Amino acid sequence: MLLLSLCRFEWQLHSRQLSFFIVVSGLFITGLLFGFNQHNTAEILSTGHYSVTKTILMLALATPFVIAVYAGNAINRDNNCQIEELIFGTSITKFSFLFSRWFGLNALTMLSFLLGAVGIIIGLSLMPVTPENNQPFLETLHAAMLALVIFVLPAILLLSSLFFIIGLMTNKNIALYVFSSMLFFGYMTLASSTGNPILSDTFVDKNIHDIFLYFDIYGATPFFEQVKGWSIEQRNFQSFELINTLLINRVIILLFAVLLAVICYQSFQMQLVDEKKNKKVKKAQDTENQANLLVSTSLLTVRPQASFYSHLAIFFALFTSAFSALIKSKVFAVVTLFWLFVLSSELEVGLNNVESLGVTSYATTAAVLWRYQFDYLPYFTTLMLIFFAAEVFWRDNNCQISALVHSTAVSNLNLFIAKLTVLICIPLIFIAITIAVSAITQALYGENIEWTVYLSLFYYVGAPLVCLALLYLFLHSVSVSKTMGVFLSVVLTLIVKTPVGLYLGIEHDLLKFSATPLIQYSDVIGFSASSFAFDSYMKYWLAISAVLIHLGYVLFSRGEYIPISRKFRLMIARPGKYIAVGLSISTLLSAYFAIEISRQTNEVANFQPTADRLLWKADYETQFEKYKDLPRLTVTDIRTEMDFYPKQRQFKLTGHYQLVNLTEQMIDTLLISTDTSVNYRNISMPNAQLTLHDERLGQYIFELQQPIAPGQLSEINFSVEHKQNGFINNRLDNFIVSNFSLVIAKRYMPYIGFNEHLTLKSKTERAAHNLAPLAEVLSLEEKIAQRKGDFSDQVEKVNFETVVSTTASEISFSQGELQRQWQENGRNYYHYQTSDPIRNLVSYVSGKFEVLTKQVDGVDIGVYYAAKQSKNAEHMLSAMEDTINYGSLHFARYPSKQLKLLEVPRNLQSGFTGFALPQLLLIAENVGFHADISNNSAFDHVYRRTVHETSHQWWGHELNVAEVEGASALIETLAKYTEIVLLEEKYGQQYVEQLIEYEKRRYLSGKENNTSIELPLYRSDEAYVVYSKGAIAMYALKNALGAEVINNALRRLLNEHGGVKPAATTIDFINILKLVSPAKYHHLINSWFLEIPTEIDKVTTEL
Amino acid sequence: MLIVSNLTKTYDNGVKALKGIDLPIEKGMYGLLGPNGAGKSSLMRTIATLQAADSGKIIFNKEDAVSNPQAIRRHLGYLPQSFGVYPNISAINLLNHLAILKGVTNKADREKQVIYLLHQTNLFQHRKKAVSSFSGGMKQRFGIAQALLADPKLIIVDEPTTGLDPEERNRFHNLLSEISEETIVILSTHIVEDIQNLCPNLAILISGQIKKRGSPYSLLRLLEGKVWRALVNKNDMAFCYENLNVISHRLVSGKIELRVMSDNFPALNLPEVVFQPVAADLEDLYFSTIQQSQES
Repeated sequence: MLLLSLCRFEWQLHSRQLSFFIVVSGLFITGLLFGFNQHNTAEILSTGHYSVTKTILMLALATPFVIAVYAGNAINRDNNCQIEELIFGTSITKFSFLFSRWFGLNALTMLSFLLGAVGIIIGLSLMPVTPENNQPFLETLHAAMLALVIFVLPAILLLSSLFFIIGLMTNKNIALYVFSSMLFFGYMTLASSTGNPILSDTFVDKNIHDIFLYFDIYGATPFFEQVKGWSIEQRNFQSFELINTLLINRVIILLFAVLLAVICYQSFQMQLVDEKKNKKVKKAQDTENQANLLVSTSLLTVRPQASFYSHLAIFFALFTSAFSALIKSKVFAVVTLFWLFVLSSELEVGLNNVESLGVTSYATTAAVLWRYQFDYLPYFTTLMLIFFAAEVFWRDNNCQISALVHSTAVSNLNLFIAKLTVLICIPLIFIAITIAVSAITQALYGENIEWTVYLSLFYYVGAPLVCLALLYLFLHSVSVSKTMGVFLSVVLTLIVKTPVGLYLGIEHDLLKFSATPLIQYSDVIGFSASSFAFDSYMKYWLAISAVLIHLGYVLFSRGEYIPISRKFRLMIARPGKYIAVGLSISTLLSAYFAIEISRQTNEVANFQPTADRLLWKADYETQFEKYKDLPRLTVTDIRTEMDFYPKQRQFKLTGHYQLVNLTEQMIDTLLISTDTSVNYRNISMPNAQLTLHDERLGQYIFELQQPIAPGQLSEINFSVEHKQNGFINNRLDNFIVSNFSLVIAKRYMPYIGFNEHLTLKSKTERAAHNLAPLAEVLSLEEKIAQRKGDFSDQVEKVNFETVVSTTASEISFSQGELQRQWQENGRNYYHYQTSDPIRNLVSYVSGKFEVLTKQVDGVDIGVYYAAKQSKNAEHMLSAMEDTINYGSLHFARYPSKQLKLLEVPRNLQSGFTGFALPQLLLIAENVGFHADISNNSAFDHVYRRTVHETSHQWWGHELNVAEVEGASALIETLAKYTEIVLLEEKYGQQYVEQLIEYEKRRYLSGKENNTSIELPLYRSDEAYVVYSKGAIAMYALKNALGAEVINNALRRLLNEHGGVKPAATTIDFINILKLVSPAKYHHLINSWFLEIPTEIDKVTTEL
Repeated sequence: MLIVSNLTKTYDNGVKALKGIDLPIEKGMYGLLGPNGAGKSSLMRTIATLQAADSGKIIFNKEDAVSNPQAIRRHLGYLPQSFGVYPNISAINLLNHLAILKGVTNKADREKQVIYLLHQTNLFQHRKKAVSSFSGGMKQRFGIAQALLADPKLIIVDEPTTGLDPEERNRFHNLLSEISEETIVILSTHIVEDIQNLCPNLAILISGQIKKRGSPYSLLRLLEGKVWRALVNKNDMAFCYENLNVISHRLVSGKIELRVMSDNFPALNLPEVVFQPVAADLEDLYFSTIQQSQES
């Protein structure tokens, strides 16, 4: 009976707390948003078992925070409310005491997550119902409840026991909050190496993965392991089974929960905190009364001063008192140690796992900064700021000393500014620690330490964090209590720093406090890609922060809390002169900077919110699809003048297309599509009238005065300007900064005809915009039948000539042979022209580079790289040379007179590591120039990748590939083959075997995680098939048939489909391969290309 | 001089803590007497600028402290009824810190004053120990020390002798008396004896209103000849309460001493109860005021 009463009391006590309502509502709304924003992925139903379980697991990540909020009340309330003596003085037993608290904590947490799950279910049910989304409600409910019981409940039990121990040890709520952050952070850091799809990191550390199979608190790792090989059908309609590693995992977690509970019970003593904890603290013992010292009262006449110096001294005293309390606290020490651990782990993992097969990295500044600069450091510091801001702001109230402090003559300004200064120090401290660790790491690796770059972190990382600190200060100023202040801080942070804001429709960075364009450091271009945009945003946020600080100061409560409404009335009735002026100035500045950012983002950078972008695409299709089947002119020649203005981040491009009618019809109408992110100054066509110009959609329709007959020529002229400002994240194909510019111009030049790439592909989006579903994609065979095997119209090669100019301090180049270079009006000019047609992927480069060149069989090859990245250049040049030699000998003569390899900045928005344009290879700095080639135990991916990209000069540029299923296979699989033969030549067969083993693992992993049905290699465009399975297939075929046979087939393929000859399909290659190889191997060719072997190892050995 | 005029304060929960308080206070000790919940602490906190009054004025040395709280803070020493301290900070460092906040920024002056006050409050030998580890009495002495920093001209002490043993109480009283020669000292307490011993002027505050105000002598004169005393049995007490204006009772040698207020000899039909006139004391004044307040 007693136990029941105690439990009932616990329930009543907790459920009446404001924190309970806040947490429950928060979880419910989060669940609602999660559910509503689930999208069907290919054939995976958002309401299916797999998706629902995954969503519950996402929600479960919040468990540490939820428990921390409730645990403070459950565990520390007696000490906080100073009621311990009353409680411990009763006859309550230890078991009853602990059990009732444990019950309250767990019951509340479970109820909260139950309501979160209800939110998910409601959110899912609010989604538009489509035939693909129509899972019976009870099934969805069943999936959610099962996931809650199996995954969330054991985690709650374990974590509640853990928090009990922490709470009883420290008796401080802040320790619980900080511990919850550390737990969350630690879990996210480690779990991201397990291949967990929720955290979507591609890197998998097998050791961590194996540990997590058994010790993952939430059971996510064994769950995803179980469903890895499941079909779409299974994922949608089959529930997971509590067997194998999942069962073991859940049992282990429950056992740990019990063990921790027992430890907690054994170690807990029902004694007063002071008695049991502070035994070592020297208690001040009162001594015998001494003689009364009757000292003259004249010593008391020390008058206070009111000078500027004294105000400064007071500020300094307030600051040092609060700052040293913060720094010297055990919690801060633990947090710092934890950060050191996380940082060190990140650096160790990052520098020693830059790529598969043991590739390590030079510890360059960029390689080090990438491990934490834009994610770990800001997120971790933000979390800590939320908690420490509360501690700093409410310190006097917490210590109940505010009556003494606030009754002194210390000014409100001093009190406020001191707190502000302490808060600002917090991110600066974490950044300083990070810099120290980074510098030490670099020194240990023997690298130069770029102190100016590190110091700039105080700005690039620190400034947004300082703004957040000021925001939290403001929120606490207007809050009635510490809990309210923390709550507001958490909610606002969730909105501005997580996808919750997106779910609420907040997309523009202007509306997300302290948001800036992604700023990342590159060894090639430093911070320059986004620095201007970053500066603009920081001016804006600092102005907003100034507004908040003014308001926060005015609303700052000294002594008794005064309701905000009354404060505002007082403020309006009696505005302080300086406050009014400061507030006005900062408000005006905020407005000014906001307008400027808006202009830069919306007008100059042409930002479009997602909804607008989708509508744009829908409108394009609606209005211009009718022109889809119009016969088109083909571009044969492109002549341009490209002028770079790197300092202004601008280019001007004037161009001329020569067009020809390769169809058999008369052409009297021409639709031209242009990119609306650039400014088209002019587009004209002789003997034609512009009958439509849709500025919003960038479409031009020309009606020809005289129709163009088959074989007849025509032309268009155009001029384009583009200014880049970094306000929208820089694209792979569009970097224009001082010392480095790369423009892959196809996007910006006119496109002839209706552009399918500009239409909506998603079923849901098409339905939402009243567009008919897309026609079923024809299979390869159907397409071949439809076209009778003729893909000659898909050969897109042009004669290219350009004059490219740049500033006197930079060099420029493009495709083609250099005809002439000169200087004029302080600018450098270069005239390039191709001797043979190239694929229409013209590109331009400008910058300051170190260059390493060589001539190979009449071909000028060169590596262009940043000055401090020289270590790998020679190795890459050697790889290019080997490939050209091999390719020219075995495939076809290298098709041009030059080949350049360019180091490009790593771009967070693009996952590419290498990209091949005609005569120009782009290799990302991290994998190309940071990979440590002196590490002999690591695989030589630098060589491999350079060979791969070089080989694309044949496979993809020289070879014309039809735009059908399997196009990627033809391009990438043949490039993988080239890698294999060159690696074998250089390092031997055994060396290649390890690559093949790796590709096997990659293929199987891709197969298990892929959500759509696998197509056979000859029809596939999936990366894990065309790269990995393709490599395995070609290696097996090479071993069976011999390289000579395959090379023979490739020569013939190029002969029939290279140059300006008709485009090829994989069927063409397979047919040629069968033609040149003995019949006894044809079944192998079929197995690899036309079938999907269930066991790839068996295929390898079969003959 | 401190002039409080028509001060009112109502809390958000509707409790009217102060209902038009008028108090002129000059240099010296001024006692504020009242039961728990009378509004003494509310009045103290309001004068100490820790909470805003809804209406009324507080004028200190001709400066309006309501519109300019700093005018009073510069001269204020405040010892609240209960207070906390920063953890793990020694007495000397915390006192030093508070001295700086009070504007004693000259290091030499500050050190002198801090040492002096530590001696005065018998905390010098504990100066390096954490205040958070002090016993209740020691902490109270610390509170007194900090209230005396920076030569305050207005000292407000709210229930200052809580937790002090008799000797400490005496020492504190002596200290306050010395200081009050040139300073306004408002002593808020429900211990009548403290007021009686120290304060040449006092006010009795009940339910947010000043019921009586003046010197003890002038206030007690109002009760002259009206206070009667008798020893009664427990059984007769209820009868006495019903029929007489009993202002207090207490145990004396196992019997109950009743004190009654009456303009005339208290007539009672109990021959064993014999009333005698007694000289009214401050306790009688206090209890009679409370009783009158309850009746009204």
